[in-house]
Amino acid sequence: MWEIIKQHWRDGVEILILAVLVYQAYLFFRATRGARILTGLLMLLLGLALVSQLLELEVITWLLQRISVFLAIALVVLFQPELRRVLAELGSHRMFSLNRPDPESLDVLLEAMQQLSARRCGALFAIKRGIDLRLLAETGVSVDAKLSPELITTIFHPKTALHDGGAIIDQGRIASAGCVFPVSQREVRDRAIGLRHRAAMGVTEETDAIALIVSEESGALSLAYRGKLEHDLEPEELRNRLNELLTFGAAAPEPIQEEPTRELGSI
Amino acid sequence: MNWDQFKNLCIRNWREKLMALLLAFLFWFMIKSQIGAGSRTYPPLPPLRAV
Repeated sequence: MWEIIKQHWRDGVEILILAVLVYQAYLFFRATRGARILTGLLMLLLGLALVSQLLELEVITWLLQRISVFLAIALVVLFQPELRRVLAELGSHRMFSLNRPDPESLDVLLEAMQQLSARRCGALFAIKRGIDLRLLAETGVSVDAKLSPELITTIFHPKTALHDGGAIIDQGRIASAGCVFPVSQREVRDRAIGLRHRAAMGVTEETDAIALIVSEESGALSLAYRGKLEHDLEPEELRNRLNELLTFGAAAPEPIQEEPTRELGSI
Repeated sequence: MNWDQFKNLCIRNWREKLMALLLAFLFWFMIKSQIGAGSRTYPPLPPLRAV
């Protein structure tokens, strides 16, 4: 037994490293548009490769070796949005993103969200952290004003010009409003999830920002982080989750799922 | 990391983790056999006979 371990421990380490990579890739690509394509392609290639190895089919092996280069390029094109997210997450490590707003401005923001929720006014916020949101801010109107419930409720009042976009919060100030956020292409089964929620998921897929949403339809408060939507949270729940994320970032514990449909954007 | 956290880490998504391990083994096996085939030594060819 000891001899076998001594001889093959390197193989074990290699398999473990590969398993971690495969599992991380699964976590990144699950529930994306390309996930099914990737699964199908992977199964086909793996099956073909295994059969050709076991039966020593030289032509199939040769063919697989030749197309693997083209396949790598095709995968980069196919998964461009996901790869962008991976790179954005690499740069959004806790060490690089300590740009957290003060607790007072968070209270103001949450109070404004509750007021908007009571009036059934839709709203979308992106709290800037490590990654610069300047490109997104340029799609809207620069505001650069201190957070206040009055200002926020005015911006998102349905009769105003800036209500139909997202507001970017940077260090306790509203940097811009009326911004256009990228819309997520993830599969979401819940039909109640509209464009505002998808935009919140989109901005958090491409950056390390935290997005907060007030639903126009139901007044539900939601939070999006790393492309995942935590839908219909109680105000206190939202405050705790926001504090967790702002304190621990990516290392924050996953939300406890009471019912499978609450966390959307994942399988 | 305490024992509970470690246990939770192992139990959460266990099906996916098992699948990842299986896939990793298949990848490893395929690559290993490719490397083995590449470095295989063949016996020398017999001498040519003059016609």
